[in-house]
Amino acid sequence: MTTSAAEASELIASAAGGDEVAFASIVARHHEDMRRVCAVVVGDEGIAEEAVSAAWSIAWRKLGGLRDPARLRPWLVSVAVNEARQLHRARNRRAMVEVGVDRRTDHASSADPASGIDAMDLRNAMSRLDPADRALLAMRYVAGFDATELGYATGRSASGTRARLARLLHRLEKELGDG
Amino acid sequence: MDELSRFERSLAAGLEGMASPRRPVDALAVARDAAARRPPRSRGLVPGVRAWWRGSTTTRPAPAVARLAALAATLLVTAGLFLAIAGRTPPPEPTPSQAESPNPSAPRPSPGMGIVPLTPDLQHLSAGRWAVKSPDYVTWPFERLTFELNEAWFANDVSRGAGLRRGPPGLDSDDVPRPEINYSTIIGLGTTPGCQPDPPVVGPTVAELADHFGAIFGVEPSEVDLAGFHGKRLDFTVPLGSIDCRITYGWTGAGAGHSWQPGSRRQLTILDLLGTAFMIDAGAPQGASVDVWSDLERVVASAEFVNVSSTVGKRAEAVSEAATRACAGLAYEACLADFARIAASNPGAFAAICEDAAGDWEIVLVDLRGVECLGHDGSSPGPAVVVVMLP
Repeated sequence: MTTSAAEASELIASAAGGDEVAFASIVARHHEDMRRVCAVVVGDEGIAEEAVSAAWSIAWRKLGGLRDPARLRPWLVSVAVNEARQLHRARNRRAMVEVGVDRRTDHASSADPASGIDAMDLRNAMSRLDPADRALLAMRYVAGFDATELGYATGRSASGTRARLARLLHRLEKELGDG
Repeated sequence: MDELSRFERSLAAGLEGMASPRRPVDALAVARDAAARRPPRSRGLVPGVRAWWRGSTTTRPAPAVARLAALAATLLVTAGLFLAIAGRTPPPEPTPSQAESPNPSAPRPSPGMGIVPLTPDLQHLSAGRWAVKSPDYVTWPFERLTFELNEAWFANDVSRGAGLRRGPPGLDSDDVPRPEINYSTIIGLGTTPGCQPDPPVVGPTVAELADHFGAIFGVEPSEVDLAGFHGKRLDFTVPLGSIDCRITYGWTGAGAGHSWQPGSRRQLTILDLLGTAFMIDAGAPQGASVDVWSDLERVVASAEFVNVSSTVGKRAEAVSEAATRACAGLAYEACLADFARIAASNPGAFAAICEDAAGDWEIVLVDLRGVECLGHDGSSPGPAVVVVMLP
């Protein structure tokens, strides 16, 4: 079931007008995409949760400025990612000894037989990427953004985003393949 | 860009592993928190209305919101009155995240407390107090039955009235004898033992049922008090018969039938719940240990009934039937309007609007606090949206 542009516009307008139910409907649809992308970008679920909460607060105040409903999801995710990156930087400044993003000890620490890529290799490879590149990969392969949405989220053209993604994939494939 | 290369598929699977699994979100709480971080704007929710939204598509027209808010407020007050009239202290409520999951198709957590999931298969339940809901086609004279379980227990096809099973689960849930607790109202008993119960002819009073079981198994019913209600208890071993199937004796409940294995030990507790006979049937296979049996008895003794009423179930059943008819074939908005009208005129019923597998909307009114959208055949939850939870 898909949301029509008219329905999405109406929903955004209601939420922007202060309708908490409409806003909650938007939350229900996008919260998990935001949280999961943030978790991949910063490698810390706690920060991801905090970032998404902060992003919703921003969205509550600024949703009225969003004119194109097609941009809603990319906008929300990019706001959350920005918040996550800021929080992550702040934590690292305070804690000084933290290194990279590879501090998780949860379910993903072992190899996923379905993926064919060792989970630890992937984490290490991701930790060496620029956060913006991690976000691009997460938005594409975790949230399932298409090129247009990726373009909205990154402020680039769809074709430019495709090219950047292709370069990233080439680099990762070489790195993980050689690994 | 839609076609993924082999490496992209592997990468996507790896990144899925880095992102934690999707979890249910209390969207309204998140929304309210977001709003609370800054001065509130023009309007908000009416107090007492819980989260309700259509899962994936549309917005709510303001008039419908207002109607639903009014309805919810009305039902909220009625529910409070019910508690007061019942004069009974309900056991702890399930945590909201379990009771209000808006997406029944998502993997469910194993919470320490909550409503026993209505699943067709065995599902492990973590230690805690669990509430049992009736299937939607069965009228129980109370809202919930709760048990205190330890980690050995599983839900087994509760949607069909089967009950709780003591682990571990086998590959075939139907063919593995295991300690169990079943429960149902009793509409009658088969007069003769056999693989299938005969048409019920005995009952429905507690005394009649207990005497009949006593006569079959040669035991004398004893008096029992459980969870504040009086009844009869029978404790016996199902005799090893010569019939060629392992099922020897059965009883029929509302919407459910049960059978007992030869050699199994049973403890029947038949309670009079304001005029309705309700049986808790605890049993264990032949050779079960003393510890297992003690655990069964402990679970039975922990039973609590929430909001027992001689009328609430009957009313909800009637309302549900009427509402379902009214909503059949209607678009969502029309369904919502009917929902508001019908439910508002039936205070005390708990309501939800669900989306069935065909994408049509239907109203399901239930006499329970935990709203779950079920298929009309009482099977596993379909694609559904919880609309209203009270209170």
